[in-house]
Amino acid sequence: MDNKKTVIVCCASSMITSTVAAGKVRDVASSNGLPEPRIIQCKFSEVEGELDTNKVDFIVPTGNLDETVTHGVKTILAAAFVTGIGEDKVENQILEALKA
Amino acid sequence: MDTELIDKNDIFINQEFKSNTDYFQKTYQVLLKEGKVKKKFIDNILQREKDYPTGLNTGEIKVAIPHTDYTYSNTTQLVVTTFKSPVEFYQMDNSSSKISVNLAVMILFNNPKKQPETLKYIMKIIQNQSSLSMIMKQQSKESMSKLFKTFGG
Repeated sequence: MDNKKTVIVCCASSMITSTVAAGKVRDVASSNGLPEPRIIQCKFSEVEGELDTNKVDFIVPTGNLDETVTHGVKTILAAAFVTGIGEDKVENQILEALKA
Repeated sequence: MDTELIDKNDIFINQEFKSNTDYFQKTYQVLLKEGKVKKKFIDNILQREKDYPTGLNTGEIKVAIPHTDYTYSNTTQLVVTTFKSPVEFYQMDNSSSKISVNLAVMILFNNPKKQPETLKYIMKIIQNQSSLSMIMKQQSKESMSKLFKTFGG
């Protein structure tokens, strides 16, 4: 069964922190033997548009993403991937979401 | 590899600022004179910091990683500034919460190709309190520059 997830990984504007987070999401999948998710990397301002045109399983923002743009899609805050603090917890949440 | 990510001229040690705006303005003046950023850089980075702050609660020693779109820089480089007294920044993952930041590693970008290696380098440093503590201890541009070379390992 194809359990390939589609994940939006996003950051404020410059693609800097989302690049870090996207790498982590891929790592979580590969180190747990899960299919590599399809990752849409974009800016916060592009999230709504991406949700309109893709079936997205969950969203991984690296900072405060306004709830009004997530349309109720599960959101996992991943600032920990930038600070290095509490990474395990976020990795677990992402693992659960990838398995779901 | 990353020796060119640090320019000795753009290392600022033990600086006193009234606010993060003060930090941005003074740093911008130097970078503009050096031709490293464009005129619009200052408005863009202030707005960006307001909308999407970059203070990181990395532990005892806290760091901010201000950056803008690559279009406002003429180079790819880090600008390291240690603060004499902590400067308040809003937190990246909680933009209503202020934290007292001890140092700023400003990221200038003009070349997306260099991004992955630059990121790896920065993350390694900011996620390591003993590295941050060593940065805070440096008293000269020379020793700071050498220290960053050792991080490039």
